Amino acid sequence: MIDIHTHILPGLDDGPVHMEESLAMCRMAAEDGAVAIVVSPHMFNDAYNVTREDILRGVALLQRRLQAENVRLTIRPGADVRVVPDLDGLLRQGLVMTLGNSGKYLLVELPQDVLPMGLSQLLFSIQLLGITPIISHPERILDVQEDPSVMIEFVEAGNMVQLTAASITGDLGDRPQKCAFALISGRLAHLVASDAHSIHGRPPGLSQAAARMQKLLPPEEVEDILFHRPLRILAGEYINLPEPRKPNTDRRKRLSWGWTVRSGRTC
Amino acid sequence: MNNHSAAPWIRPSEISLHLKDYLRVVSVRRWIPISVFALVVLSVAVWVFVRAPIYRAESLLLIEPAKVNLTEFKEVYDPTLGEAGGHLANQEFLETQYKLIVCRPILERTFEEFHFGDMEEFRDKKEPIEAFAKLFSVVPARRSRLAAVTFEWKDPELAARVLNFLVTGYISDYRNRALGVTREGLEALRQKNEELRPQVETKANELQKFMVKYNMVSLEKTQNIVVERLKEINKNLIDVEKKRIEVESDYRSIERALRGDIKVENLPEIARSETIRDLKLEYIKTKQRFSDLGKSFGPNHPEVKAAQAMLDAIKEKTETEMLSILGSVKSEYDRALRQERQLRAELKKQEEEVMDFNKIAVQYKVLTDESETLSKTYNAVAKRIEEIEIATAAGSKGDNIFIITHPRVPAKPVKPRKAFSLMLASFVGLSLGLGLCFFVEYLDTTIKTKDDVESLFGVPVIGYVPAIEEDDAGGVGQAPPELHLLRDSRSPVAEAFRSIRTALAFSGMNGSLKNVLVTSASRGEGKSLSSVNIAVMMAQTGKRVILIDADMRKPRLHKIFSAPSSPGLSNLLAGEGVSGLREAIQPVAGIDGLKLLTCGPLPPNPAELLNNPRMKSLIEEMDKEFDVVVFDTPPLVSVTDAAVLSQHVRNIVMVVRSFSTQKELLSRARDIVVETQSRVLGIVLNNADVPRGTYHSYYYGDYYGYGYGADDDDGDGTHKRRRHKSRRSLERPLAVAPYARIRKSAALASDSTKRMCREALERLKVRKG
Repeated sequence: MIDIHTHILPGLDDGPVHMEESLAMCRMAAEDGAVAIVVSPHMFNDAYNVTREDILRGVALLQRRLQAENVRLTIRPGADVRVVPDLDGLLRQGLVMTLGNSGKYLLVELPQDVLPMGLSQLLFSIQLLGITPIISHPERILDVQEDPSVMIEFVEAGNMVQLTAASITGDLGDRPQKCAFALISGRLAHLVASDAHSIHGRPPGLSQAAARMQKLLPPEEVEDILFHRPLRILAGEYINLPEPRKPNTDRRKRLSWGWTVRSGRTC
Repeated sequence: MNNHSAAPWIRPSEISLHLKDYLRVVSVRRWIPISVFALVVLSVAVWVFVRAPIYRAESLLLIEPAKVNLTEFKEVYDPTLGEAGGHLANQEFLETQYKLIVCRPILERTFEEFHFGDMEEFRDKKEPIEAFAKLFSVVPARRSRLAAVTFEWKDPELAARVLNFLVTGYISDYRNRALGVTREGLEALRQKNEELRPQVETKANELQKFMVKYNMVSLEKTQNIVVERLKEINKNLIDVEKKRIEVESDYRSIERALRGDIKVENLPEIARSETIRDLKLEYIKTKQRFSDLGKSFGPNHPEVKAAQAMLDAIKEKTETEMLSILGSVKSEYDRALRQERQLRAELKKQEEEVMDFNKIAVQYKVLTDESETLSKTYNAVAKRIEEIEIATAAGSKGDNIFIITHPRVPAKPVKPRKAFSLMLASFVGLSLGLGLCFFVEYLDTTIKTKDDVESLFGVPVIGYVPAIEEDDAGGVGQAPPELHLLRDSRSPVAEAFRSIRTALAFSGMNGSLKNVLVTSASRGEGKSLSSVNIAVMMAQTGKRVILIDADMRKPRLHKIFSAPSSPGLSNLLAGEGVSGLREAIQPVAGIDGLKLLTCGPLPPNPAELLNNPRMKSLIEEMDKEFDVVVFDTPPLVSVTDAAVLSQHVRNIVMVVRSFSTQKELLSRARDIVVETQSRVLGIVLNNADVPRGTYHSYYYGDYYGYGYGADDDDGDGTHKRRRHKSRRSLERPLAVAPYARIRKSAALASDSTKRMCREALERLKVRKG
């Protein structure tokens, strides 16, 4: 498994403060089955502004420590980039850290309550630069929880969606879980990441979510979500996405899972 | 003459067109009638064979409308009823009986008797008896008094038993009812009889006593005696009275004479008396002698004196005589009076006696009358009783209903009637299927024939793309269905696009025309298929072709060619991500001359982006770099993208999917084309080639088969016919129509013939062009 969204570098954002905790988190991830993780500190967030250089330095540092500690885990740079109006400009200036630093995929963090106006235009502008935006954890956005099908538009426009593992397992509550399931049913979720911040609150690890997804999706699809797509993202390769469809919401969900499982071949 | 000869070949054509129209509809939608037919027949067949067989027990009853009563004339023939009246009464009676056979009480009894309530058929029924009643039927035979009673049940033996129970029950009910009426009446009569008998006896006794008491032999006899006597007395009385009145009158005269009112001598009795008359005569004689003597002798003569004395004696004697007469009259009168009085008394007595007798007679009369009435009633009652008893003894009542055939255990089931049901199902299925077929056709407003589109756009259909079987389209490693022709260049699809290519070539795509916009009215009509194949076809002729995915709503070209979607057109138009056209275009593996420009990132506002001034320069650049530029666009009607693009690319190939594109949508597409002042080069009719009976193959057949079989004897007519044919030929789309026929023969022919056919086809295309 490859975890593409973690706050694991020490002292940069609301993740771990000390290197020791980072190492502990990395060990947890490795034990959980991760072969590689992408560190993604908050970028252009009001509270934490991290630069590309900070991240690259941190990655190199952490990687060295892990080798020293003999933890078999690859660390790659990345960032959880807050949407700001001139993000495409910032990208053009080379100030933004893309996933794996490949310049092809960008993890975009949206506000927690509403989908901002002009988001489509912004994402299009990013795409024009040859970068595919990955919308991180939309299942935690109120607007999307209200109506998961709003994501169809973004996915059809070529954006990708990443869910938080804890949403799938239900650790973040009913609403994110319900929304996550709806997005999965609509083939609107392409990636799952831990969004780990600490050992305790939101620990690293994807295996629980993987187990939960096994019940909803065919194994190949789970494998795509947790390994093949992240790998292509880190390699900067093109990903062929499945056609989205209308997500199953509320009561009918239970009935339609079977169908979802049967026809879920993607990637 | 020309007009006359012209008519015969027009009319059959029109008629055949009309008829074939229906055949065509059925043929095209043949799956509807076939499946409906199969469904109906199959379900009926399953029903028929799965259903438990039902047996019908039958019994024939003869119902005589009324008892023939030979004892009373009136009942045998009632003239008041007449022929019709009698018939009606009979009819009513029969109808009543039909209803009575299956009336509720007997049904209930039957139901109970055979424990139908425990059977599953009736266990959950709300009204089990009503359901039970439905199993029975009474069918009167026309113009007879026979009625067949039937009962249907799955168990033949039970059916016969149940029916037998019902019929015999009905007849015994009927008999009981009929006899019941008589019996009750008889009972009442007997009771009345019992009441009457003592009364009659008492009255007779009373009469007897009365007669004894009054010593009456009979009333008449006694009456006669009394009356006779009365009559006699009356007669006597009259006689006596008459005599009395006679005597009385004499007596009154005498009384008057005695009073000196009249001379006694004048009294009739006296006058009548001979003694008096003798005395008078003697007196006269004596007087004569006296007077004679007096004269002769003087008064003192003895003789005279003797005479005088004699005279005096006579006088005295007369007077004595007179007195005695009077006395006798008086006594006579008195006797008469007495007699009368006596008679009167007797009469009175007699009259009283009559009065008394009358009183008795009245009483007697009352008594005899009463007695007579009573005995008459008694006799009548007794007579009726006797009659009824005789009738009952003979048992004639209720014997006017006969069982002609008793219910027998049916050998063969009546239901389900397999052959009949299946025939009916076939008929219903067929008509339903055909009906549905035409109904669907009626509801279907989609484009079907080439005429539909050609009349809308005024341009010919330049290619019929057959439906692509998607059986192997989705397989891994296979080309998508749109690249069908790359897999098999001799496939019908490839052939279709070759003809489209040719048609486009003749419309100017070879030289002056460089770019073409492939669009359609709505989504899913085969734009991408058409644009890809047109581009590929063009490229295969050695031209430099670029295929542009200008559909920024639902781009598909990058999927068809398995190419990354970006960078692409949107990058070029936005001036972002790529430096120029060369960087954005991608080669297509296996096709040298073809380059692909994918859509790029999907903009939120594609129309706006397409309206970008960069578009013009981009097209100019592409025109320079390439021989043919093919744009794949979104549908014309739903979004403005294609309309915007047509500002730059004015040549349109309209893709129409038969049986799918709505006429209304297509006409709106036409309006847009007109508004944007662009030019439709031709129409690609997609999903067109359905084998046999489809719209366009029908037209081929009709058109090319036309005229050759007609008689050619009239030179003028032949000429006209041929001219007509060639005129219609010119209306055909370029190169398309003959292709179908040649293809048909090519399919059957050897390789060399196929080659010849293909060459012929090419020549045809060139000539038509």
